[in-house]
Amino acid sequence: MKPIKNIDFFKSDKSSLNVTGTVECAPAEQKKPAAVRRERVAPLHISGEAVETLKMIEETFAKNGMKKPAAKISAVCKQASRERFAVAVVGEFSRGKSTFINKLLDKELLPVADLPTTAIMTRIRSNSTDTMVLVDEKGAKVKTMPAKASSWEGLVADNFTDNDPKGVMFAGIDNEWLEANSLEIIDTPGAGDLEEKRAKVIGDALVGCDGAIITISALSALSMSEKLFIEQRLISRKTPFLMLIITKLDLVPFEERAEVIGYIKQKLDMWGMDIPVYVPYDVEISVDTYDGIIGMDKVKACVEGWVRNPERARLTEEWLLARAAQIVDGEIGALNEQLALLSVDDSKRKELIEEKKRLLSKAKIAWEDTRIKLLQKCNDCYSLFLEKVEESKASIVERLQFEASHSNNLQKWWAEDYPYRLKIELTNMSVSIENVVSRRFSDDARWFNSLLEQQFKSHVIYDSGRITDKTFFNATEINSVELEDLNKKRIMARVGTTAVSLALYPICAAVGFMPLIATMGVSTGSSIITEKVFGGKVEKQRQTVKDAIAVNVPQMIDSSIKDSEGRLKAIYDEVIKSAVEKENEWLEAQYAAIENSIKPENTQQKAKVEALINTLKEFTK
Amino acid sequence: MNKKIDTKKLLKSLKTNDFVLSCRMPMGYSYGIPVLEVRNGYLCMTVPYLKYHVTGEVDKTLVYPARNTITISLPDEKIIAFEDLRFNPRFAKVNFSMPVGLFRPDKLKEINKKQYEALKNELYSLYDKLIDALINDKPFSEEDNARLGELLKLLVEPCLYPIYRALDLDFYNKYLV
Repeated sequence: MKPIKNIDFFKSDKSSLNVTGTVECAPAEQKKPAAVRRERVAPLHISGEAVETLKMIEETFAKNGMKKPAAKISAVCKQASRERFAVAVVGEFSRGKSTFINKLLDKELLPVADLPTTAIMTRIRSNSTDTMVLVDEKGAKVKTMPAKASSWEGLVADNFTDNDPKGVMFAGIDNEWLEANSLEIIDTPGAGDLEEKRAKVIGDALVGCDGAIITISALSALSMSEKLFIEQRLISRKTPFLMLIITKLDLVPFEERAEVIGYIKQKLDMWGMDIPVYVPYDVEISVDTYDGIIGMDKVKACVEGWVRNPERARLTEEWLLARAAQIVDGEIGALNEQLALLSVDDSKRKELIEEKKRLLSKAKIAWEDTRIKLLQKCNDCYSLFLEKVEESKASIVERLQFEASHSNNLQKWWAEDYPYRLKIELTNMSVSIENVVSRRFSDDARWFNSLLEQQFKSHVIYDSGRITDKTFFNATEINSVELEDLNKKRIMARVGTTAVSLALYPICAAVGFMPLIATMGVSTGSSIITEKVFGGKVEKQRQTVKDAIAVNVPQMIDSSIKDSEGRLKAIYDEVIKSAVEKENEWLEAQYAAIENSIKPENTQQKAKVEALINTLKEFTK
Repeated sequence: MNKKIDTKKLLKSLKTNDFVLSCRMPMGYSYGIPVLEVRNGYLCMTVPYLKYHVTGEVDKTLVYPARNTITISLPDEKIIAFEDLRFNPRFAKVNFSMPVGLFRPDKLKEINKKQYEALKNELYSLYDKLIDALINDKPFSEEDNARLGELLKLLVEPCLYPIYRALDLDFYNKYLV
């Protein structure tokens, strides 16, 4: 490479123009027509006060040498200044998440399978070229590939082993909708009965998202674990915007579709969850009440509404400040401990510090022990659940068998009354078991918190809402039993004997053999025989139905509860997971308190801690 | 043999360039019309990266100011600098998160996409010719120079003029004033 000769080519006589100043670009709003201003996606403006508060908290921590909480607050600050509106798509396995995202983006980007695919999170953004980049846990680029479903080959796992790929997949696709709304769609692994690392990936995704789309399958709408997931992971963590979408509605019989939507909406109302419901695909429904919620365009419009929602900044602010308050609260607790240590004289303090150190060394084991005790409680709760199920099973069988034995038309009863009766029985059973299990769970969670309060002056937030619901037991698998319509046959037989009797009359009259007596005799005799035959048949049929009930009811209940152990554990696991998070925070704070208290006693230090506590308390206000 | 630069190809190659990828340009940002400048006697090309935000309405795509630049030395096509303009004191007053104007500007409203592409291709071929002229002492006529100025004035959005002015005053004065 050589220098060029004409180095003054670009110089002109206008070069005397001032260039030392700064560049000022007038914002487009001043030039644009009003219509464009309305269309433009408003950038997120967290109020200056909130940002100031976060920064002040961070500075307060930093000034006082509290690096870890300062870093945590700094992470919260970063959330406040991000550019994209992140929407996480969450749901249990096989709820059609990937299919939904592919349709939403109008691109076959994610692999679609009935089995869980990867344990990694996929962040989809707008990009001029379709590319996917796999980034490992440390942020290093692992692989670049074209953005299409086939690129996932080798990245999907069919089991939950350690060979699962880790990290984050960044997918950039040329999508106008994402671009126009500064959107980022986050695909998460299926939730539900997950192993820890997959649950962590979902947790990580939800930490930084502005909105969440919850996918629910119409075939198993709103399970217990789905309800808990919404409450504990989304509502309690103040995720600003939520939407529920019903997938696989096309697999539900046409006449039942409207009922399924109504049921889900009703259930959300009952639970006090104000979450809009949409059906993303064009599905035909018997009523037109739900026209406004059917179609991908409606889903997109809702998301665009979130992005442009004037409340967005306030909701996000609320969410950020709630997270900051949690961090500050934890630190205030630790500082109070430190203050207690600083308030006593030297010798006493040393004694207390030693005691604390000793306790801390045991604390981890104590936490573990507490958690194991809770797991034991979970097992006890499950045993209680099974016990109640067995009790209910027996009484349902007994009640239905009694009804069957008093029915005049067994075939009709089995075909029409039995499914309805069974549904009622199972609903009642669900409600009664719910009450027992909920009470037990609440007791256990309260016990767990009192233990944490006593041992560690800490507590976890738990949900004491419903555990089961009416759909927990579903009357869908009624065994088929072939039953004759005996009433019809009996009438036919009666008509037959009457006809024979009537035919006998002219014959007897012709041969001069007391036609009336003969006819009456034949008629009475045949009626007695018919009744006897049919009586036997009815008894046999009753026995068949009783046997079917005895087999069918337990079978149905057993199949309904086959996942309940895992589900119940998932509920307790949520409490345990919160406890693990608390444990880490608690231990960190305790070590920090000890470290700071080891310094020689001086009133200045004590005053400093007191002042810091007061400052932090001011922030939490 | 003297190397001939293909500006269009060069810009396209930046999309997959390892260095540019590792610069982690924010998504949505892509290269704009480059600026030619002479640095210490060497010819360089500075490529601004800017963002167009589609609102869905015709001619109302929002234009954001260039946030990053990549500078390439010519003719060896070696990337010599990446700059995040947010950290440049001269751009301290620019609000990079706010749009500065609209695409298409009035002057482009009469032409269609195909014509726009053709004009861009013409512009890049004039860049190629100018680079060749400067490096290999080849002729670059006054007509070419005037046409280059015309095309730049037409294709660079007026709302981006302050950015281009700040990127290189000589280039700005020669072609955009």
